[in-house]
Amino acid sequence: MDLIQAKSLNWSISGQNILSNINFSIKENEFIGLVGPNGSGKTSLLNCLYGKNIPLSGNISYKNQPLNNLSRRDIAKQMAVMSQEPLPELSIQFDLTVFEIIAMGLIPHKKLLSFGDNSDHKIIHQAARQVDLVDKLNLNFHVLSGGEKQRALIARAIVQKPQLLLLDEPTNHLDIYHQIDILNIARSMDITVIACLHDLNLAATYCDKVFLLNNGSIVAYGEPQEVFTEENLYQVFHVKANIDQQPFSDKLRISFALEYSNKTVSND
Amino acid sequence: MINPVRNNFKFPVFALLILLIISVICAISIGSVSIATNEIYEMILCFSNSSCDIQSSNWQIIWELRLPRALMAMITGAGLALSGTILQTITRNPLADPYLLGISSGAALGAVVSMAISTLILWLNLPITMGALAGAIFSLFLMLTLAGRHAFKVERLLLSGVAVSFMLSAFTSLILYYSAPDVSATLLFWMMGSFSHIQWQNLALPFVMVTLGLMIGLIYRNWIAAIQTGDDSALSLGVPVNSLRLSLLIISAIITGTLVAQVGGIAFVGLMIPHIARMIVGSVFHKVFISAFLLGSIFLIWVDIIARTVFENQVLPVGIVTAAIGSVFFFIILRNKNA
Repeated sequence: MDLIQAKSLNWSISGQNILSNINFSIKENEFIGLVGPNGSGKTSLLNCLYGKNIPLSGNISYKNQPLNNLSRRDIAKQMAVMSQEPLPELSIQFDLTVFEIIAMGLIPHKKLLSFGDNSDHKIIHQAARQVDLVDKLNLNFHVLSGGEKQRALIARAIVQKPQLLLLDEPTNHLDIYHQIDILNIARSMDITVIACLHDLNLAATYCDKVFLLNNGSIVAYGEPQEVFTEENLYQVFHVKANIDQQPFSDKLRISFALEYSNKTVSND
Repeated sequence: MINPVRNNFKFPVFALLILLIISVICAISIGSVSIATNEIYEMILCFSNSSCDIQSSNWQIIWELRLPRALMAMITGAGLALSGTILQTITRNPLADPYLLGISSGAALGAVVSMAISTLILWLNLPITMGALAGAIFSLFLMLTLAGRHAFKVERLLLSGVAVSFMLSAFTSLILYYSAPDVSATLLFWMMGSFSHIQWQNLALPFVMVTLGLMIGLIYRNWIAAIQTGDDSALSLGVPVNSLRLSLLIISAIITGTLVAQVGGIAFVGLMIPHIARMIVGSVFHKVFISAFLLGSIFLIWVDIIARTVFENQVLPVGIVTAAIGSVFFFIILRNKNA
């Protein structure tokens, strides 16, 4: 069954087209990667999917229902979002603990007047156990390392009980161990995941399907083997790539030549 | 690391409630005429069985002067602290309070304008409360207009709030400058905050507004808490960030306007009390909100006691005492952070 669909989606900001004629449909329990150069529209597309960006034209439907028919709360009950920087706006003055951050995942499911109970504690502890943060629940969120912060936010997403997890470059600034760790946790949730990824090898390893974006349009869509071809990668990234098989699995391994063609790289 | 009180919220709330009751008793007892606590206890008893000697001087002092004054200090402290907690949370800025965002300046200007007009045109008796409320809402309108289409960006909102605050304060000073000396002296004393004139009938509106503010804050506590983590984060948790922030700004303006109309300008309470509350109970919004409500009440009751007892036969403006205590408080915080 299709979980989320986009039809003729266009989005612009200050008169500049950021997304043009985006069409796709994503099935349940798929792990989807959004890849493309800086400024290709990955984050903008992700933001459209949970209603942060309102499309200029076209539409997005979730479970065959137009997204703009759903309230913010209904969307939050279905989708959890994790941004590339872990809560960049959380001021150091507001020293929330890991427990308190994870507990926020319950907000969409709580009635305005309801108070927390013991079952909430159980759910939060369970999520913390899943991301191996039980012993850090009482620490301030700000003292955690980058990887731990991302894990705390994944735990918040677990508590949110979504059917769709949107990850915006979740492995940014993380070492390889924590990159794998975060994506393994996301995969283990057994729900649909849409992740913007810069690391093409991680995308090839984890994603069932990949969207390759360039200048706000989808230039290729399909399984990693179909999308990650030398031609496609050269067309989009202007870098020569060699594609073979990873030594530890049947997944693709993408290596890049050091020389690149001269092109203007747009900023994100 | 976090402090141990944080996980046991009932203890600080209970302690603050006890402290609040003690503070109210002290506010009734302490003054130029000292009233013993056993007399206050007897009065409470007589009140419950309607056998009070309402002609006695102590009864008059308590019932007509000290009790309404203490209750007004309590309501004002609670209201300003609530307003400050809300503003600091929705702007994610620990320096935000009704003064920084220009709400207090707007309320003060509105009140001063209505007072000045009533003095000039005797038959036109403009209610100060309406003036202050209109001023507070006007300042909010100005702040949002100045921020333009970026009004929902926190930094823009804060900057335009500061600009509005200075602009409206300048207008208030202008009115003071051109007022007759006796009128400007009255206005000046009022602007520095005072509970001297408070009677029972002054309590109703502030009580209703502050209670409503408390209830709304508690009902929407989870949504407000989510804004602390950032607009995008709150949005992804299902919070209608922009409409909630606008509604809370209006509520803060109404609470501040109502209070400023009754007691004048009392600075630093909305700024300082949420800081103290966070130091005691952590940063979870509803815990800070309830603690700030109680702490603000206690704080202003004691400020009023100091203001009317520190000099014999003279009552200091409350705003001067809060400013003096507030500046020392921030000096100590800065010293501790630098240490």
